[in-house]
Amino acid sequence: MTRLEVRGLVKEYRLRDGFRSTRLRAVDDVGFSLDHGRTVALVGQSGSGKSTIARLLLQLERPTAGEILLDGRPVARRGAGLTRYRRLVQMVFQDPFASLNPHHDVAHHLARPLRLHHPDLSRADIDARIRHLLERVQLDPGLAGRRPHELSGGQRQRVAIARALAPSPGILIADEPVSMLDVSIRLGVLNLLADLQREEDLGVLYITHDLATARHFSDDILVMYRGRIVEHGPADEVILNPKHEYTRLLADATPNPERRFGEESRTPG
Amino acid sequence: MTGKLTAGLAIAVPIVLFGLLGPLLVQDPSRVDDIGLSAPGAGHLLGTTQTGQDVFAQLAYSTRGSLIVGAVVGVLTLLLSGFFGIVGAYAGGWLDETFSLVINVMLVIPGLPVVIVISAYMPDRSLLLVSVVLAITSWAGSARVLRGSTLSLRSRDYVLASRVAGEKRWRILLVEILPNLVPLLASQVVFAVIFAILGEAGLSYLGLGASGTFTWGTMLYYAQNGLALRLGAWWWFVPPGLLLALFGAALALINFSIDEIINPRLRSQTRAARRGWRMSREQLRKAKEATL
Amino acid sequence: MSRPVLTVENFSVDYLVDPVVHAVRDVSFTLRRGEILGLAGESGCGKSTLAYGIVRLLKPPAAIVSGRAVFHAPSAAALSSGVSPSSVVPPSVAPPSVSPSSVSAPSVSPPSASPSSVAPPSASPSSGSVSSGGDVDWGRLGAEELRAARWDRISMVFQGAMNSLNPVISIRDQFEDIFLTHRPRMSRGERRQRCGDLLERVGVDRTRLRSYPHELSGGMRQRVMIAMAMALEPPIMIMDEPTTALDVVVQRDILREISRLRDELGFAVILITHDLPLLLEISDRIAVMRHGEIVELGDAAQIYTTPRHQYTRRLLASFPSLTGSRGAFVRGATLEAS
Repeated sequence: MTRLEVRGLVKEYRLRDGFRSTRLRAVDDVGFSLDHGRTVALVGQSGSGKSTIARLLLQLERPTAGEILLDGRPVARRGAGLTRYRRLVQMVFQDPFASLNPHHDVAHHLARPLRLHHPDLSRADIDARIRHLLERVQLDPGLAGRRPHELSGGQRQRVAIARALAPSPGILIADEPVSMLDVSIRLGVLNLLADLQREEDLGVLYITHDLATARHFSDDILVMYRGRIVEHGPADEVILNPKHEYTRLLADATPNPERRFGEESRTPG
Repeated sequence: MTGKLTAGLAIAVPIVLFGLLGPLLVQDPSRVDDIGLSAPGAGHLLGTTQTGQDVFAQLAYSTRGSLIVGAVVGVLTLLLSGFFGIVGAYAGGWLDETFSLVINVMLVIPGLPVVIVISAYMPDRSLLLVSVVLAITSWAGSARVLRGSTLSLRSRDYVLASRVAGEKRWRILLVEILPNLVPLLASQVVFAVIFAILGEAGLSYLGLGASGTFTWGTMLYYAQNGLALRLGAWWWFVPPGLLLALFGAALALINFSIDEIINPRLRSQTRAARRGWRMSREQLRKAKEATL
Repeated sequence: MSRPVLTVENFSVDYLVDPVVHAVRDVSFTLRRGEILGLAGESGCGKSTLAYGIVRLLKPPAAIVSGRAVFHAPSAAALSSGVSPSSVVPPSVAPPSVSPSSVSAPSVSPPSASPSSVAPPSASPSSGSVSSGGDVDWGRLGAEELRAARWDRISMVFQGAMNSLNPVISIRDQFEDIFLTHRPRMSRGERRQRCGDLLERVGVDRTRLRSYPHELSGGMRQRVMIAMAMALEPPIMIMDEPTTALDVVVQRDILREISRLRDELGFAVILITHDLPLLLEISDRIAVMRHGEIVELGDAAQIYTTPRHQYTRRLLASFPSLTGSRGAFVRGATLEAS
């Protein structure tokens, strides 16, 4: 039962150009909330500030202004409060080839968060949990001893998802989790995320540039443009009946064969 | 195990063993005899010097001396460049700025002249002192290379993922970042060792090396002073020169193979990789013609 | 319009390593004049290898082990209208002697190189042997003829091509390089004029000629690359993931531009991408590749409405529809909500 809320979030970067410095507002007065059991998609083009929001939510960077509330209370930036926050808010990164350390095996990636957040577990308990986690993401538990380079992209991303689930979080932030994967396995990974979300009652922030999966995968959609959220609403409403000009532009630009052939002509596969 | 690594080790290991064990087996290298400048023969495996000292014994002690210089400089470079390069870059902020400044200052200090000045000031120089001076003037380059790599590793997704998981910062550095820097560190250390041994030889040859100890450089210095070349006493200057060249080459070979580990793209460019292709000469020629 | 410009017959490419990898297996298709042929498939299916193979840009250990790619000469009318007169050489003219030394000159290089190295200055007159009438078996061309014919008969835009512009040379100089090497007799003023026209044709202001690559956005650089590919008005252009690195809005603009130019100039395009919805929207025919083979080739409408091959169906199902009700996607929360 976790709820993550953001109010008036602003992030500015100082760009130094010789002696002058200019300010770039990457995130401008953004507010939304993530509730358990719901998926919110954050869509926008590259450079719109989506990933900055992810970094702010994960406390990898500090906001210039605004606040982040976890279950109604401002989040802690250090100490036990931060540890608790780290347990509850987890992340799946975009690039499965970069998010796993080539030097360590799969078990290491899953064991570390377990040890950190459940220090009382015995070695056997941890091994059992690793096996369980791998099964949860539909991987063979025998893969625990493998190094990342021995796995395919889809397998790596499943390991990354298992790692995020290891501390049993309440909020999962997925930053373009399938954009680096082969097209035929993307839906599999998204469906897995959807299943896990339902079973674990997770609140998911699905960051993507792909409107089609955003629509089918999430309950609500936030459309971001130049650091601002320009449209916010139920998924179907935002995509099928866009209000803001920019949302309309995005929807028109997205490849959509139905525009050419019409929907009814396609036979169900 | 690549061919380069095998060749490098095949040369380097016997030299190191000779430096370690040789001094235990030979006579006193400083003992003067009245059989000056005798050619290699039964009594003296590599002949004698002008003053009748045994060249083989001197060579054994010199090898040990040069290896000590290499080892000391290697370790000091590892520590200094690792500390200033990796820790600074990882911590970021003002610490990185400060360390970066230190590195840059050390980098622009011209190494060899400083070494010569320091050496000239100290009439009584131990091998250790010379090594420390060489190390202090040479670590900055490696530190910069390490700093660059650490900066790129620090922002990798798997490091961020560890932070999100709640890892302690020192643990991220030691467990997630450092293992990926090991090949680079190794290559920097090997390079530092080559630099140190050659640098020491150069100093000694100029007469600015360690006093009272044998290294390859001092041997060459004495051979030069003793007019070995003009007198045709090749057995005096060829062995130290040859060992110096061989050891440098061996370490360079080892460094190449480490480079191939760091950068897999180099591996596919090697002749060995090309031999693995099942291409006929005709096919290779056509491919070359088409893609020129 | 139905006359083919390119016939690929039983084309196979192997990577001659141990064990041998069959990257492209026995691929045959024809490319008609002025059509957009989509080549769809996942990464590693051999679609890029096929493209490189057709233009003979494969690097060892990849090698064409069987089959051929034959370019059919355009009709005389098309020749005179499309290509500037300087390049048209009567068929009777024998290929001038090519000095062996020029073979080693820098020339057509893989896509990572800057376009300024597209061909050596010496390539000029030998284009006669290629543009003379009749069909040209690409595989039989010598190095020099090949170099002259590339870019003139077929040009390429590769993935990330926008990053292959030379950062220290202005757009104009890189542009003029193409004309300097392939149309050496063109006057300076004419060259300038052509470069400006080409840029405007892809929707970039001609004042941008003076810019350097870093002053342009990614989308603009990609447009510049497309303009360069069209510079010699080749009858065929191969585009390998031309918009993958770009945002959807920019991608849409560029695709529109390609379609429009195709209608205006009548060149044929082989468009390679993994994005099947995109291909369905803009191409005339689509070939679906898997494991080096074309498993299905048909009209875009046929592929969309009645896919025959199992894999095509699976690939189609991988893309949930943007506006349609079908998601191919069973998501608990959505089902409960609806």
